[in-house]
Amino acid sequence: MPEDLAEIYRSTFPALVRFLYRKVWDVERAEDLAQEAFARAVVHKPESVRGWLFVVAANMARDDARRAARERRHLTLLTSEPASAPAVDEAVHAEAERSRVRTALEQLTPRDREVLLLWDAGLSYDEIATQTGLARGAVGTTLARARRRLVEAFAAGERDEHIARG
Amino acid sequence: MSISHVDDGQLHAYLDGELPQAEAWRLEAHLGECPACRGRLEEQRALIARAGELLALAAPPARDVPPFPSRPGDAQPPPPARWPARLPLAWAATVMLALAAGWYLRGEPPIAPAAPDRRAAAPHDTARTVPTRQAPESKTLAQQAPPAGRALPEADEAARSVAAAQRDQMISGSAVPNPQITPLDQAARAKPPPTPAAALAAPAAPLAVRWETIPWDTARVMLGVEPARIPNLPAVAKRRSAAERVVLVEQQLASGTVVRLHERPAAEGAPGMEVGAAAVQRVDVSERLARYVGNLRVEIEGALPADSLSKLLELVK
Repeated sequence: MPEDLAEIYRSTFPALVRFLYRKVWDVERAEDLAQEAFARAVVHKPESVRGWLFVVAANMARDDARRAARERRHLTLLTSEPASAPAVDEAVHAEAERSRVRTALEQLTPRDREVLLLWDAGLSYDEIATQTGLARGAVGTTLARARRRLVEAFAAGERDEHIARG
Repeated sequence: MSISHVDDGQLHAYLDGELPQAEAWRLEAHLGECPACRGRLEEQRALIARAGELLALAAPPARDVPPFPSRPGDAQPPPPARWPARLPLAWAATVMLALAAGWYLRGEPPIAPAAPDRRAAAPHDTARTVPTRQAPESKTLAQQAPPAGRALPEADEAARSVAAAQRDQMISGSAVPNPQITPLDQAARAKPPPTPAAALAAPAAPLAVRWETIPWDTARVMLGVEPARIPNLPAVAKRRSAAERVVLVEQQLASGTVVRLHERPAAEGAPGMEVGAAAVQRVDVSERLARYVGNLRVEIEGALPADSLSKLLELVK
């Protein structure tokens, strides 16, 4: 099993970073935590590596959020910038979108959000069920709700901005 | 069919390719005769696509997969509770990098793209053709670039980083390898090297005894080219005997870590020599890390973090 780790590292690392990024919202921190998770996997040699990695990563992200709440970088572009219309700089735009999605994600319940992020990171319904303690049959229902809420919250955020901007 | 209307959860599971076969058939049968549910299917399909788009917007910037795991966070002191774990982790990191890089250097194409692979693995999926996964952006394999793809560093920068690594090692109090490394060592061996016997027999103790120091010029003549070495570090050339045309370049870093490069003339077959194995890598239980870069055997004695190792290997290449 350990000899597969290099391959798992290569194929799963980006997904794990993506998963963590949406929890800590700092790509370097996310990479740090992802690497830490792999380093622990080397030592622990868990049975099913991928699932294990996501559990450990989620726990680390939670601890990390508690411990380093003050250091967290907040993407405050939207609130601080009056968004001068002509300066539709690509990067600024992307940052703003990201911030909006983040806000929308944070309106989901923790469980809905977790299931959605795990699915997006490439885990199967079975893996998600194992990790969240949900019945397998409930994963689809949870995902359906999580997706709908995400899309609705995002749309609502856009509306509010337009109103706020006048 | 006697199924009543389907719920959103089933539709999502179906569209995600995660509905068990029997249920999927029943659902399709129902869809065949229920326009309302067909409409809902399309709504949910759009919803899934939209959610995928949004998540893709919140994806981290695409970056190369770093070597396993360079630890940029080392600059800031970690919480005390984590200290006991650090050294083993550093070693695990080094070994892991060796595994990853070794794999990479074997020049084999990446095995299988991650996402479809997973679908195929789920038994109830194998016969399915209908739904595939949405949110293509968030799944791009482009993000799963191969590791070890570092830009070529400047020579002295690498030397510096090696030196810095040594300092770090001293700060952390010990250069003794941790027993944790053992399972990995086995893992490294489990990946069968082409000539395991030669690789295992070659490197260990007798180095100091059997190798004689030779002038640099002699080494150059033996190889026909300038022997490989790390720039900006004093180097000593050695050979085992005049008959064996293998040059050993030994370079010592400030704090005692020794880097050894075994090199033979490019054209030579040298059967039985450890350098004959093209891209073997193995990890010793001792403080020695041996790697092959093409023909060149690179041996490192002492601790060296993953970062520096990868730079070193780039340099040597």
